[in-house]
Amino acid sequence: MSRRDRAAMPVSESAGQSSDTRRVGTREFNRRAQAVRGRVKRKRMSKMPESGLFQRIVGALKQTAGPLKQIPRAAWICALVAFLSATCWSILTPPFEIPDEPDHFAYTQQLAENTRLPTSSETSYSQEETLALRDLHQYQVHLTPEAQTISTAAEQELLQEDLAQHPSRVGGGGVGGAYADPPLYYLIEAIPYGLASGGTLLDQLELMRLLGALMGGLTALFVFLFIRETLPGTRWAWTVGGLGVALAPLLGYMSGAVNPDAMLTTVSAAIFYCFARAFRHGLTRRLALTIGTLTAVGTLTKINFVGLFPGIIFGMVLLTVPASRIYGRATAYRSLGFALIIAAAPAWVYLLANLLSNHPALGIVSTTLKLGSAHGSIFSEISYIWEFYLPRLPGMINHFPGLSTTRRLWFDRSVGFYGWVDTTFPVWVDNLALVPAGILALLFIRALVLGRAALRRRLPELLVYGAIGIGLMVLVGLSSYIDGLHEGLFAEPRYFLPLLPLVGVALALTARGAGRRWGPTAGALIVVLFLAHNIFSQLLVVARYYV
Amino acid sequence: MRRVAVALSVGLALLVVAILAILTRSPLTVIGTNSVPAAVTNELQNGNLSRCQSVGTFPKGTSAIRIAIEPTSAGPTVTAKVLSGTRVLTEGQLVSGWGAASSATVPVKPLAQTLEDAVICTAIGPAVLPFRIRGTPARRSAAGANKLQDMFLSMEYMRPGPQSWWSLAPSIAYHMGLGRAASGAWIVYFTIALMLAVVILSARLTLKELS
Repeated sequence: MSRRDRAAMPVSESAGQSSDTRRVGTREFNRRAQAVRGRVKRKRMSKMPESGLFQRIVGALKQTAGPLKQIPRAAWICALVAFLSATCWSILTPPFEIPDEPDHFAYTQQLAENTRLPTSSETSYSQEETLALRDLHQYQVHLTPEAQTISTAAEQELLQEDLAQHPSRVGGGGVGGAYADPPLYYLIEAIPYGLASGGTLLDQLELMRLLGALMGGLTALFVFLFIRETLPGTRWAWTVGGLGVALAPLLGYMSGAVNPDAMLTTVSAAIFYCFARAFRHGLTRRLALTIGTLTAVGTLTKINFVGLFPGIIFGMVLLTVPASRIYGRATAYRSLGFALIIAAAPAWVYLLANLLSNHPALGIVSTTLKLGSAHGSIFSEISYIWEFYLPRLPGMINHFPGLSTTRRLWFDRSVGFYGWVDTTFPVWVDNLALVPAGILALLFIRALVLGRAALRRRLPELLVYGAIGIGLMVLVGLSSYIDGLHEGLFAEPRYFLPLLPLVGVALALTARGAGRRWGPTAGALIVVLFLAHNIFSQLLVVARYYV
Repeated sequence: MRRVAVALSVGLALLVVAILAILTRSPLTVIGTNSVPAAVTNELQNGNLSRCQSVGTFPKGTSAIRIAIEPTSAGPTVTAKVLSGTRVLTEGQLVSGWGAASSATVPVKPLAQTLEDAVICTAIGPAVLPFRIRGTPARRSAAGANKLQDMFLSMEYMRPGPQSWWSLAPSIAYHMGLGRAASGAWIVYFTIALMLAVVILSARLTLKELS
């Protein structure tokens, strides 16, 4: 048998003849051995029933790992900082002392224990949660800044004894204000709830809060990537914006809680990132579908997401025009169509389900649809929403007598508004905060003026971000207009956490506004400022609950 | 590189100094009341109201007056004036927009001497939303007793306590260890360690990327 014949012979056959293999050269032997190994491996794989699926998963993971490797290390560190900060907040804030946390916990418990959606907006919590709230003095402490949490060993023992008796975890289906919320966030929270089900309710709550902290980390990651896409030329500024957001106490406070705002913020940050990418690289089919899917996820997370909807649709339509020149008209519009169908699917299902069951479960959105009939004229509504954020213009009705909404509701509350919206800094701190805020505003304006040419070029992109922001502002303002008389003003800065990516870019621009020479120095001071804000906010919460 | 390092160092040093300065101060504690029990709660729809009431002894050093006014979600402006006869000895104001609370804490300039037979005049500015007041009716038979003029408001006087935040740290740590999944004061040290990690990570990243 010639060497060529042996080489042509099936490998298995030749491998079986040891005398032949001894005769071939080392290189040829290795080649054949490798071929045999490969064949055996393939054979083994083919015997595994899920080998196709397994390979697909491995392939998908490899595909995912590729882009992940491209994420700068600084972005991961920002994410880690945000996660650690939120973890601190999750520990500092006493159980159930964050707006509506008992309701959000009850919703998750209802899904996990009863495997059914909540049935009413009454508060029929489980026996376990009711006991915990009672033993923690939650009813006395929340909304009463002079009341503190439990402070004696006897109170702690009572709490532990009551929870150790394994009271019922099955509630009556009434989850208070969370009733109108879609279920996705709570379904995800059911995972840590289930993982900690061997422990007490407090263990479950802490693990659920940690999941929120993870979402906070993801938010910071997406904000960093958003800044990278929007300001690609100034690498150092990405870190200023990213760290500024990661250290923002409001993000830590809300991410360290059981509250769908945490996930809403993450989803929104991801959408902003996708838009920035689309404006820079074009709206590919994959990007369009991603935005559509994220929009659907946002709609299923919290009803407030509806406020972002018009801006998102506007953005996708706007991006499709240039995309049709690149990918062809049919392809671009087909992508848009698919994305819109995916985005709107939950809204339609939700609407249909509520119509069929006679539920006004669209909450603030359904009340919004009843506009005009229940309240004043459309001019009254517009002037209310304007005055909710900005100083009154001549000719407008005075909806907020004696109250400067811009300063007192939004600025002061952005400085500090924690606990169950009952924990604020003294007025002198709010006044002092005007100084750094004023300096930051001046630097920001300088950056805008210097970069006005670039701003003009990127006007469509700015319009989309503006539309998203205005949509959310209108929704919150309108909700306050409709329900404010009964439920109080909806003037909580946390409602605007979905716009955090814009804050990140504003911070990066602010640092750039200090000029090429002093920009990084200003950036370092901005980071320290946000760090200080976070630490003093935490001390404020400690002073509120534990002294 | 050098500028960023200097800015970061100075900023962090100032932060530490500010924290230490705050820890040496004392939290506000209640040192007295006007002896009016919060027996009745009334809801008022509009502000622009005022009333003066005799409060007896007004302790020296009082730096804040806690008045039983409870807003829905944005409180109206509350002004308090402490008078001896017709002379205003000290006054203070809580600006409108304060959040949910069971009372309005109005900061005032402390008096050097205790005041006997003091009168406190409370003025409530325009209110965006209804608010509640607590106290005792001034005239039981009076019609429309839900007005500010017809109520003796409950008040508490506050000033910094004898112990600093720093000296209260052990009891705060103990308190923080209660009522949570992982009990014990160790949770405080764990939280401090986490925040230190946040500071170190942020500082290192800032130095690396901005230099």
